[in-house]
Amino acid sequence: MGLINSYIEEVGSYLPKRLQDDVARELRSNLEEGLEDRLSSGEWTTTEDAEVSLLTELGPPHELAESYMPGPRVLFGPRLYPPFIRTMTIALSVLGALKALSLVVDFIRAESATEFWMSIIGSVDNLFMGAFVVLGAVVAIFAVIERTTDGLPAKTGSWDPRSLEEPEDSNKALPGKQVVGIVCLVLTLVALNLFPDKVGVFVDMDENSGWIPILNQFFWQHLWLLNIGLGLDLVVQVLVLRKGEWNLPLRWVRVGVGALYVVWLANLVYGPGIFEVDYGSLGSQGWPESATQRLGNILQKTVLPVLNILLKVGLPAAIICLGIRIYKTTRESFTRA
Amino acid sequence: MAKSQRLTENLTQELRRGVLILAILRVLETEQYGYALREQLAEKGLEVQEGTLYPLLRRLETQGLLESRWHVGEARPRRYYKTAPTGFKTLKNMRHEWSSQVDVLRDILDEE
Repeated sequence: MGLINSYIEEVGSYLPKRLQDDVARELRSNLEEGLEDRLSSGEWTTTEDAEVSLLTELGPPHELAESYMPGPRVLFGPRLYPPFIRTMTIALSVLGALKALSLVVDFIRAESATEFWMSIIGSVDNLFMGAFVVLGAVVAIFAVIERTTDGLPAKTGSWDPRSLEEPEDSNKALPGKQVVGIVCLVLTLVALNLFPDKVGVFVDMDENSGWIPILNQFFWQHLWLLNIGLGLDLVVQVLVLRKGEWNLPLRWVRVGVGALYVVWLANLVYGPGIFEVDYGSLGSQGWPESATQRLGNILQKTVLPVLNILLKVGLPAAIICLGIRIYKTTRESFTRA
Repeated sequence: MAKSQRLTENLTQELRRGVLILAILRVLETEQYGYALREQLAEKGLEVQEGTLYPLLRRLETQGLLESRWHVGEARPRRYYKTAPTGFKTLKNMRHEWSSQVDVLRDILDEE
């Protein structure tokens, strides 16, 4: 009986507590009956041989225990799966946004490119750790919901297939969006290339007013790169508007445009600086010396530092956007293939 | 073991599992304990593994198709199962279903 006892014990170890005693009692009763039959048939000479034959027929303890379970032992069922995915998406997005924000802060504080790259590596490490913690916490919460509420209640009433939402076509052009994009691109190109003296801040102070250029020569030296990016962007937007939809080559050109913007921004960020008050321009506009000095001081202390910060924030933001665009376009390329 | 032989064995097992409930509900119109039920089914030509039968009896009881009670006055305590009132009604419905399915399948399988 030693093997039967061990077998029953092992089966019980795989079962929930509420089932263990009852299953063990019934199993023992049936196994003892089976053992008696085998021994009385004379086919097995020793009790151990008969037990081995009996238990072999019954199968491994864990398999028998599984048969006693009403269904697969899962943390939560399919009904909770869609809300679980939604919750995970929101939680991971919040985590990603917080990390991106801390990355921006690190970038502004960084005194060298090496220091910044080190902080990126640290952030990626933290992001993975955070993602695992979020995953564990959300799974635990859903497992509790599954056990305490037996899953979400099923939708009652008859179901109408016409209530299904039409899947969104991500390739379809949105004319309004494309037109706004085209207008903005044209205005930017015209302003930068035809009216560079108007690119600055408009000031109205002490009865003097006018446009104050705040971009220095370094910016204008790199304008050609921005022009290529804006021009390509414009061509893409016009083609999408004409075709009525995005296609894969256009998406890849858009990725290329994004990469151009990143290169252009990186040049400006790691260059000697692009913001500078043009005192000469103030003088030529008839600003008195005292007002020029005062305005210059105000701009140097308030507007220009803010613009510098925005420029620095723009680079990581552009890199993140480019990364997302590359990921989406690559995924689409594989899906279509 | 050849693939087709393995598949045949698996499908036969699934087929038996499907009709097994019907047989159990019918045989347990008279109260039986697990081991005796298995013997009885085997005598009638329906071999069932113990690892399949015992958990199935409990599941059918949970579903309300069977009811059970322990007999402790015998040489060893035994759990006896019996078809429950819901089980009787289900059996009646399933017998009709079984007959029509057999006819349909015979037609399909014998079709030239």
